Amino acid sequence: MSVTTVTDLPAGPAVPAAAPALRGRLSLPLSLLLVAPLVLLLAWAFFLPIGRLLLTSVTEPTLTLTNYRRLITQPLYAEVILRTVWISFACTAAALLLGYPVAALMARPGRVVPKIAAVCVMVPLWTSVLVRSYAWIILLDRKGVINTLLVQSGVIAKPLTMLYTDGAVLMAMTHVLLPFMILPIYSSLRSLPVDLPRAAANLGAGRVRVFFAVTLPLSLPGVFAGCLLVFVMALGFYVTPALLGGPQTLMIATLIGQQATELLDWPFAGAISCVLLVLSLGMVITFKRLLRLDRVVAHD
Amino acid sequence: MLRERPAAAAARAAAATVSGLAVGISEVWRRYGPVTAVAGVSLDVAAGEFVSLLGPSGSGKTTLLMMLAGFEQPQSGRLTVGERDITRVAPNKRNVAMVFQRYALFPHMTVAENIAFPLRMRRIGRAEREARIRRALDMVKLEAQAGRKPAELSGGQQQRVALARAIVFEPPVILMDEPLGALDKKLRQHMQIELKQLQRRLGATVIYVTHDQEEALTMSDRVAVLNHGKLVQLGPPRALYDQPADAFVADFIGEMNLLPGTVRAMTGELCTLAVDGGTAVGMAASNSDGQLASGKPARVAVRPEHVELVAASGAAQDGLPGQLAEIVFNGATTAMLVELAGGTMLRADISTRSSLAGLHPGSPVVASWAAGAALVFPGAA
Ligand SMILES: Nc1ncnc2c1ncn2[C@@H]1O[C@H](COP(=O)(O)OP(=O)(O)OP(=O)(O)O)[C@@H](O)[C@H]1O
Ligand SMILES: [Mg+2]
Repeated sequence: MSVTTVTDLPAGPAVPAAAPALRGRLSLPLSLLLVAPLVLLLAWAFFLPIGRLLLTSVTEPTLTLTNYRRLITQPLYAEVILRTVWISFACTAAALLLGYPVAALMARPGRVVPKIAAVCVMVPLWTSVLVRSYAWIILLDRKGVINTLLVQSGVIAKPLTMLYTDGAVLMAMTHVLLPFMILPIYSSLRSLPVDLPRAAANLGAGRVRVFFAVTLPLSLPGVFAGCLLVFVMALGFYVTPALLGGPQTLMIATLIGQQATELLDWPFAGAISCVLLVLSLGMVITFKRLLRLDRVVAHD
Repeated sequence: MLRERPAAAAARAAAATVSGLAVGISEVWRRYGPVTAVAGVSLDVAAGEFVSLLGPSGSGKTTLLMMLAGFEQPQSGRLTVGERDITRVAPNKRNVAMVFQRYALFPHMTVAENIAFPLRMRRIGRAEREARIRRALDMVKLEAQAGRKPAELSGGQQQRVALARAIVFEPPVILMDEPLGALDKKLRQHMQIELKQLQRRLGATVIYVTHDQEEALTMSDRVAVLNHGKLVQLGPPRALYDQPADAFVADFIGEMNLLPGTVRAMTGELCTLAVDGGTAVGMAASNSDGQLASGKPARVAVRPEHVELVAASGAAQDGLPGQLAEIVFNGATTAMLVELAGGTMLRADISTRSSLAGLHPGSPVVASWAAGAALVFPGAA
């Protein structure tokens, strides 16, 4: 008998991904009307002041680039920018390493464990950043909880300097920003159909291979969203570095604050803000360009 | 429908590239809290056999399949493939392929990469891998789509990728959970034939879940009917159709009139009942042992194609008197819906060629059938 092959089928059109329910339903004028309040608010309360601040950086005292020249020529400022980038980068990496397993735990089937994990993630998010930063001070201070414990138990003779170091800033920032890493990853893991890892296992993949071949690649949109969120937020982070960082661990936002409120040098504050803005936007655009997330993954 | 079983078996033996393995399910139980999803099912599937699990929604079909694939654990019972006990074997070590209802194609891989996946997992070398992928793509006629992502395929094409991915590593057993459920009717019928041909050619054992009884009847060597987690009947399609084990199967498989009544007399296996102001006859169902006695409630099951209608003549006639309520033209047959004297509806399928002239809605008629064409089940509805 000759081997028959499956006969030809009328090739149906490719099934388009379901469009979000409202897309294309509202008329253009109505859409514009609906977003108008937000646009006006943003324009008045956000873009206008920022625009003026940025403008002062090149117009005061006269039309000039001296503020920017100062940023480039004085090594202190370049150092602050570099440190900010490095701390933000380290913070993102740490949050990713710590956050992914938590997100995976939250996305597990079952009731109890995921709920507990979710509560542990959400509760800190509802607590003020200020409170959480002070909590770290209480822990890390020379007379703080950790030092007291270590000295009393005789592990060390003299208290360690932990507060006002890069390490302290990094640790506290990672802690504060962790939920912003966990939530997007959790959301992408949750939207992953259970059938996919199951299919991989069925086809012969062990747990590790299922993770690296299917789960991880399909959760990358969440990973990238989390990384972007954490990195950009870390770049402009103010409270935690201001409280936990010493003069040696100055970061951009703290520097801007100093210039604006202590030294009243608004034009220079504007110049630094401009650098921060460019860095943040640059990150967002680079990420989008490099990864083309929507093309990497198309869940149904 | 005609079935040339020996010929089909011979063709299978000649063309088979893989020999299937027998699957054993013995006394398997699975409960979820208060719900018993699978209640002591035992089922032996022969090597190379195509068995359907058929049942209404919630009858435990998926759960049974998931246990075979290893995604669910039975609380008791034993599962075997060939000689091997797989009850506690990890899913990736079972070598039992599964085709998911929603295909479960990996969205980030192309068609070819999807099909390559099980081969990579088995560390099959590049040359061999490419050759097998080409063969699988050829079998499902998707050579041209090899480089596309699943999202760029139609439903039927995705279905065939899922199929190719499941057969490419030549598994001895293939499990399918309503693989055609998401397709439209025409495509589904087309795919039924393709699937069946493919299975014959591969010689693999297939366990196929569906709640579409027509699909189960056309494709299967044997059908296992499940209800409330229990296996109610197992047999070839024809046996299920002709000798349903109980009223549930009778009702579930094909069109069936199930008329409630009261037993009037038993003569050997022949049962006479009072139904809706008339008299009906039928053979006692094989497992009704002794439950049919005069005065007991029972139901008589008769297929519409076995019901005969005559115009009421006024004289006393054997059968069930009623009124023709509706005439529905179905092509080759015409369905006559009769409202019996007590209000019960009865359907009779009459060949359109012999369609009864002179009958129209409202005509008084008498319905009857040969005693051998009807089965009587004990108990009320
Ligand atoms: N993970 C689970 N947790 C709790 N109950 C479950 C679970 N899986 C299945 N069940 C229950 O077990 C019973 C059998 O479910 P199953 O999915 O096997 O039915 P099915 O025959 O496949 O139905 P369908 O035709 O709708 O797919 C149902 O009552 C269902 O609610
Ligand atoms: Mg199911």
